[in-house]
Amino acid sequence: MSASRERSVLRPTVREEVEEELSFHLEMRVRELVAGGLSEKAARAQALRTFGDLAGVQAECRRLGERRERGRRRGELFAELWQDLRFGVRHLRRAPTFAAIAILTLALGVGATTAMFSVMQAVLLRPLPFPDSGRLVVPTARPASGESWSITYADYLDWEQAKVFEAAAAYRIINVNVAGGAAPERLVAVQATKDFLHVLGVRPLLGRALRPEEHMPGSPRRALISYGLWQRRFGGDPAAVGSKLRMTGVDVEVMGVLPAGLSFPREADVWLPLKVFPEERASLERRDNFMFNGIARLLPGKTLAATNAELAALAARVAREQPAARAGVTMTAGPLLDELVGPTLPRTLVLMLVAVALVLVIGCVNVANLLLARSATRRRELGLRSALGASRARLGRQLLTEALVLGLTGGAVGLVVAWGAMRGLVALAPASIPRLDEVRLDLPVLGAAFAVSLFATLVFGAAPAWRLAATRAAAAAKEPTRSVTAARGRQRRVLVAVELALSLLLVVWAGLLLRSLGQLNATDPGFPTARLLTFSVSLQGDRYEGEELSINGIAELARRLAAVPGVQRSALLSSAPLGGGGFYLGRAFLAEGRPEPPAGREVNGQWSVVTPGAFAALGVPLLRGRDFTDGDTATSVPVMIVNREFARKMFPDVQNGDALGKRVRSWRDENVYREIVGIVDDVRFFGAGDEIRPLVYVPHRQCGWDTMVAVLRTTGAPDETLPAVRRAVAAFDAELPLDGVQTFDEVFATSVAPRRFGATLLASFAGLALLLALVGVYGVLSYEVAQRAREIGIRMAIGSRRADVLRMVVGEAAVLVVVGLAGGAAAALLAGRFVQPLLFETAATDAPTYLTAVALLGGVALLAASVPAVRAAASDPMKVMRAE
Amino acid sequence: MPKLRSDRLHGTLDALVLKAMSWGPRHGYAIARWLEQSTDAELRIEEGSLYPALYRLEERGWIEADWGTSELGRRAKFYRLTERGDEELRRETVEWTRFAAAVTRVLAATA
Repeated sequence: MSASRERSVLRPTVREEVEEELSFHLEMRVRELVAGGLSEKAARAQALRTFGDLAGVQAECRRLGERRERGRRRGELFAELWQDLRFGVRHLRRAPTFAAIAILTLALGVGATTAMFSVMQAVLLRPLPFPDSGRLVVPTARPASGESWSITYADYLDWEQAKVFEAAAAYRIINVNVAGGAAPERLVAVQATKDFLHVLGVRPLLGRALRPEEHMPGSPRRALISYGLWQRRFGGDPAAVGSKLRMTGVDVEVMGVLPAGLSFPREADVWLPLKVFPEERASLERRDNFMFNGIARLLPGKTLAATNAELAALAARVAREQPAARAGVTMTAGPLLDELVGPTLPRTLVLMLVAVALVLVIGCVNVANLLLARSATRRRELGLRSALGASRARLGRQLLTEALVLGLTGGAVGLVVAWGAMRGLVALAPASIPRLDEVRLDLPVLGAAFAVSLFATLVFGAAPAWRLAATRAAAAAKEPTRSVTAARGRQRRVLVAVELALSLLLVVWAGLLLRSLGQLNATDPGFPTARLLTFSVSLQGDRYEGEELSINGIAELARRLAAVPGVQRSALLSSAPLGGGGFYLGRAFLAEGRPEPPAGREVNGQWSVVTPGAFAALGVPLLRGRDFTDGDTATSVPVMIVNREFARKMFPDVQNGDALGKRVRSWRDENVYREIVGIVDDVRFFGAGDEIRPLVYVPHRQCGWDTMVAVLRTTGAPDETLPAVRRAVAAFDAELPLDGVQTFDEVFATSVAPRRFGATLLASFAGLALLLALVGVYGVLSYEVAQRAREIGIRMAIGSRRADVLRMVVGEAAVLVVVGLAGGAAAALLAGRFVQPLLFETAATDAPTYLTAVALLGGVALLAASVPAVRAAASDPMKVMRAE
Repeated sequence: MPKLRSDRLHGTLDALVLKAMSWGPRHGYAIARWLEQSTDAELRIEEGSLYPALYRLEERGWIEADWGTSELGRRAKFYRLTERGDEELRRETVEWTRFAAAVTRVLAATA
């Protein structure tokens, strides 16, 4: 029986002690009084009287006694802990190689996990910088199809009238050409209703916010600018407030500067008042003109659910009153943070965090195995201490404390690793991940690192401590160190199998993401991207005022670009495929003679305005009919060219998708019948990973558009042609900036970047796991072979051949590998549903990926096993036997 | 000039209890009897208050307790002075002597 339990059973409680002590006192007093001649009864009464408040004294003594007892126990515990800590540190210093390997393994795991968590913290968890940002929401329109649309101006007016929010604003993002600097530049601007800044809770750093009357049509042109623009354009001079900025061809007075980091949306540099001119009013207030974004602040104390119920009720009323425009469309608000982060990113980051945590666990398993191997050699020491009276709990505590020394040291070194890894992650990450510049080692991240270290300690420290509890300490002292118990071997083997299973999970995930990336890279965007230069221009100012001037401007620019030496073909489009920029506009279409379908069942298509020659410039094959010409004008027959997918969706019954000559209208907005004069091939529209979508092209002379994306197929390298292109644009309009200049190869790379990031990251985690698994399998097997040297020696002495020994050792490893890999494959299949949305044209159960992963890991494991196996087979039986 | 400690009376009881143990380990009843006899009942010390005092002294580490067998063969808790308790007793004795002398000087003064 252990010492501590003995104490707790035999030692009387404080209460019993106090009672015994006081009753002794009273008894002695009674005895004395009786000796003095009193009766037993009288003596007892007097003894109690002289004593005073017996119950009170008893309670006080008990209180004091118990306090003392607690203090003593605590003191003992701390003394033991301190002793264990010193012992642990001393112990590790005596085994520097072991300590270095263990600490490094842990530091890698803790560091990588911490870095990943810091990214998650910055991107997903940390609140937005606005005051009380949890109450900021984004209201959106939800059609029956389940998509998320922006809102109409009329909806915003509804909220204001019904006081659904504490404050709400409608805004739209436009681009403005700003002249007057070294070169004209195009900036992102926000046109917002009066309460925009009030909703966000942001005050200008300098100057003042725009007043409600400054949002009235005809009021002087005024704007707020971002901190960045203030620094860039005005060098941070406070005199910027009150000065004029020449934008969109007119002078606008700067009224204030917004604080750094409190811009919304992030990319915006200019905030303008939304002025509703009388001639625009009818169009703006249409219930199906979803051209605004909404932002709002919840009323204090009102939940999102209650607010959404009100929005739904408002939307239901609108749908009843104007079914043509709004049947089936409801309204829902969601947290601003969710809106900014988007739907896929949290899943990706969670997967990465799980993956990196698995690497940590695999590392912990290796350290646990090292500790187990060491504890085997320490059995005599521990057995001795146990025989000298240390309880098993005490020894277990000592082992855990030693593990804690390792864990916390590993954690501290891990912070350094985390800091480096964080910088690496930020550098590697695609620009599309929001708030990544806010990644830092803050308190929650440090807390997480500490928690992770403790967790790791428990994972790798529990095994030796647990094993200790399972051994008969007394027996251990007598046992020779060399003998191997079956229990220990099994435990280490289970750990290795777990390690292999987790590694396989990681390798499968990495394989799936890499395969997705491969698929994505191999996708055909529908046109050749080589030597294809693109940029965006926005014709603004008086010289383009009015439809005709604007159309002529675009035509003139197209003509000048085509004439630039080195430009093979060129064109201008309102939106470029492959996510190349422009204004993306989805519209619903209806073929002539068909009834209007219910909401959610219409054929949608992306609306693009193009100049003649756009398909030739892009290299999109024209399958049937003709391209637009300069003859397609405002006065000629309205025409359109559609892609194959549109023809298939709109006319599923027509053979070969031959929709030429049919008439289609965009029945909710333009509502003009256009004749299909051409059918072009499909392209990936929103990026390389996009599905094939229905697309509609209309000639620019029939639909004026002032912001266009230029595409130029060059004969040589695009860089070489760019200066001449810039000169041509400047000759056309010196105040016209080129925005988003890039090649289509770059556009493609950008659209692939998030997946590349995920796949690279996961592949490096998997590589780390593979390495750790290799070390783990090798470590366990070579240890076992060393332990069994005598047995192997005997086997060989009585006639086993080297091949038999080799087969035996590798065979035993193979069992381990098969069990581990089977477990890992099962886990990967179970996790498939979580991973599937992150994959591109790859099934989460993709057999080649699984087979490759199993072959890779199995091969590595058997390779790791073969080294000790060969060593065992090569051993000289006589030497081994003599050594024992 | 010795400082007058606010817990002078408490301290006095502590000093007397410590003194009771200066000849060797004693149990609570023996200490109570010794106090009774040696003060000739001039100082009326409530018997009951002795025990909390003992617990406090033990907590401060001035005395230690052990269970032993009394003169009459019954189990009793014996207290004995620790080294620190012995020092404390000396200090208390010196302090009290000075204090008493000072007070006596003042009270006996004629002018």
